Amino acid sequence: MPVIRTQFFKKDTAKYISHLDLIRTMQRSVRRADIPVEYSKGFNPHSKIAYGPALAVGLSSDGEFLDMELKERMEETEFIKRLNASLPAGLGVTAAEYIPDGAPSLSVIINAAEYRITGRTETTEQNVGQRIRKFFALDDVLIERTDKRGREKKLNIMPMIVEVEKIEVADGQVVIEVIIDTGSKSNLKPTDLTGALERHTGLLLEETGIHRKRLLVRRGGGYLPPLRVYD
Amino acid sequence: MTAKDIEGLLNRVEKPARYAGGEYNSVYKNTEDLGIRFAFAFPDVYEIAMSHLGLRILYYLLNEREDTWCERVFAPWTDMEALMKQKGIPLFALESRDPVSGFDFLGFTLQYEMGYSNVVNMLSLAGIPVLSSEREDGQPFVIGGGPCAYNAEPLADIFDFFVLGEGEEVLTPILDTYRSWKEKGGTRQEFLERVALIEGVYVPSLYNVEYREDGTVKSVLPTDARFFKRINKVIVKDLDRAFFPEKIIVPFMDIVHDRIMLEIFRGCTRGCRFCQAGMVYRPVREKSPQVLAEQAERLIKNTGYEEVSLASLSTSDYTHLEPLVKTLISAHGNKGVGLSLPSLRIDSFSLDLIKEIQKVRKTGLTFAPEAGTQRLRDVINKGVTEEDLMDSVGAAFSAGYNNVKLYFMVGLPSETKEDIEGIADLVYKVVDKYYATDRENRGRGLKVTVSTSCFVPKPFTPFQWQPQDKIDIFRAKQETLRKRLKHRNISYNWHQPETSYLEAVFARGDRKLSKVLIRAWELGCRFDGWKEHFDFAKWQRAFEDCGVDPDFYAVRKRDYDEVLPWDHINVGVSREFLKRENERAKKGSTTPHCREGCINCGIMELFGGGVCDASY
Repeated sequence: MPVIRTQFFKKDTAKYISHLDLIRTMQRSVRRADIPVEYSKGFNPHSKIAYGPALAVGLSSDGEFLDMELKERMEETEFIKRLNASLPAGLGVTAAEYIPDGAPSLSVIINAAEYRITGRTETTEQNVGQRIRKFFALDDVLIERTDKRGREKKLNIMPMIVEVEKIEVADGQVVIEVIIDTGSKSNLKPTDLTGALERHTGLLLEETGIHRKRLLVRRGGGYLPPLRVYD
Repeated sequence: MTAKDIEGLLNRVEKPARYAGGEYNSVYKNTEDLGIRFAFAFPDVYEIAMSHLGLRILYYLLNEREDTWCERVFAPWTDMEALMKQKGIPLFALESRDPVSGFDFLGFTLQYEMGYSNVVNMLSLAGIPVLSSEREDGQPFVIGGGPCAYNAEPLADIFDFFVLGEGEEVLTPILDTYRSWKEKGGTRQEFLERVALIEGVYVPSLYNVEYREDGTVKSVLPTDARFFKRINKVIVKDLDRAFFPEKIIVPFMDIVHDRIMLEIFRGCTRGCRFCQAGMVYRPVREKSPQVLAEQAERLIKNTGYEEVSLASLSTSDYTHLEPLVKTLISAHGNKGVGLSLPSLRIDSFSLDLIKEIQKVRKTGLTFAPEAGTQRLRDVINKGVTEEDLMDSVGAAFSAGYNNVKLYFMVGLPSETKEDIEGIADLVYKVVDKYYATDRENRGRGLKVTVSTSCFVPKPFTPFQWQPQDKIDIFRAKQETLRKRLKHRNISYNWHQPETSYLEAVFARGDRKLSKVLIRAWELGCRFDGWKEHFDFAKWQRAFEDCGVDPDFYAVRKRDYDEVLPWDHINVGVSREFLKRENERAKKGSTTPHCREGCINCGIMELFGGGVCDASY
């Protein structure tokens, strides 16, 4: 069966929907678009769509991914056109390509994500930039996390920060761009990072200010877009 | 801060999709071209409100008008309410996020009495005076419809007017009247006096209520001879030609009934004596299977929903059920679209039909014997036998079903200890039936869920004169069942009797209850239908503070010669018929359902012949 890998965005009102809501919304949009999606067998058939790592409620993103299994091939451009015509405002497809048989799933390959974090500051700009840089230079920043058994444990978030790409402070606005571990093996929640950042720098980050630019495949010191990773 | 920028708030509340709007098929219009802003209000939280079929129909009906934008407004959950108060954000419509205080109409659908405190709370959050007498020019008209509008006397001081019957028929003349009044620039009072002349509109402030010394109603009379002495409900006469939307809003978040509801008929041919819906939605009017198949086709195409549910008061009474089910399944089954049939009756339940549905999607099965003994089932005219139930569950178990829900009521008129024990006996017979089913056919692991609700006597039913059980009697009956239904395959749920008591007070209440309602809201009551928010002590205090005895409404038996607070409303079913049925109930004699012969309920006198599909 052909599998089409699809990149989409989630923003505006659509960012307030949970991952489960997204799955339902996508399933219905695909039916409206009359895309020949494959259904699972059994008493409660559902369309065969697999997603990359879930995005938290309230966060926007330009680089989400899903793999959809089709009963028959259709033109990629036609697929994008029909699906976009059926998606609610705030969701939209930006690219789609068929992946070869046996290509690994999104959850296997995706291991990082690039975020843009915005915030405000009232102190002098020089200081803030320095404090942020100092924070990212720390070796250990511990946060509390509850494990699956409900036990509290301390976790060092610094090894999960892959790369700080940008720290910009201008007119009281702070913009930080950062790549962090994302996925089933190692996962840093962006809100855990912003929480720690606020505690260490006194920065006020906007409630609506976390944006996932894209999900990534990190390999051998470089980054690849998930759309073209077939092995 | 205005509602336009609620973004910051949405990240701080549970389920922000309740307030975000923007769902697929929601309607957005340019406000500059509009004559009428209408807020369709449901006094409960989003997931309940969005499940309501009436909202789905009327939202699109109103938005068909070029001069009108109908938006939605629901009760914010307590976390959102707290934030709105803190930031000074008034109640806003989901689509435009404009405050509803600037709208022309705020139209509440009144589905259950326990939503009344939310109505008051929503008005207050909107900054609209709670009492209709205190509203001024430029403020919206607060109007109400739905089943509770048939006896809306407890809300008489709060609403400007009520719509009795089916909104499809009456909303258009109301809005037309409004436009011509608004263009001429009249007073509020002038509009109310004009709208009161429309069939199906009840303006409570144009009627005076007098009471007797014992607190019962003496008379309800119009303040002027121009107004109707009795207000008739209005109905859609031909459902095939009635407005039905081709699309519905597809919510992002999970709602209670997250599926297409295909309305197969209105009204009910059964005359269950406790059931208000079965009386007030008469006459029976069916939609043809051709029209339904077309509507299903378009709704599936325009929504992408994976499930269609056939909506009515008693699905298996639909004349063309089998062909309709077969048509829908063959047309949509291969696209993963399932079909659900709620409200199936026990007696006409067919194994073929189950097998047909099961091809696509397996749903749980619900049966409602309502009472535990044949004697009591005859009293309430339920018209099903133990044999019917056993045949049906037997067929279901053989088809592999292992999850069955059984609904009963406690506190029905004339109920004895035997009837309560009878509920438990019947449940165990269902369990035995499962174990008697061939091992190879039955599903593994039986689960029987038993729910008992507390009987609430409702207006416009044969039991409208009957007293309700007292709270401690309900509790004793529930305790008996709790002890008897301890079994690994059975789980037993029961309703809080305090809630049902309050429901009984307001269901048959009069205008004296308006002040109690407002007092209870002042004391903090809201979301009374939600266990975690219902606070009976506050309600008791509200009754005390207002000097009103709730027992007068709930547990008092009425005589036939008493003027009932809703006697000036005509739902079509006559008082004589209800009295006759109450007398038959006392004798335990049943009344055949309408298709076996017209029982002269009175509906034909109101609407003339040819309207009721049950009579030929």
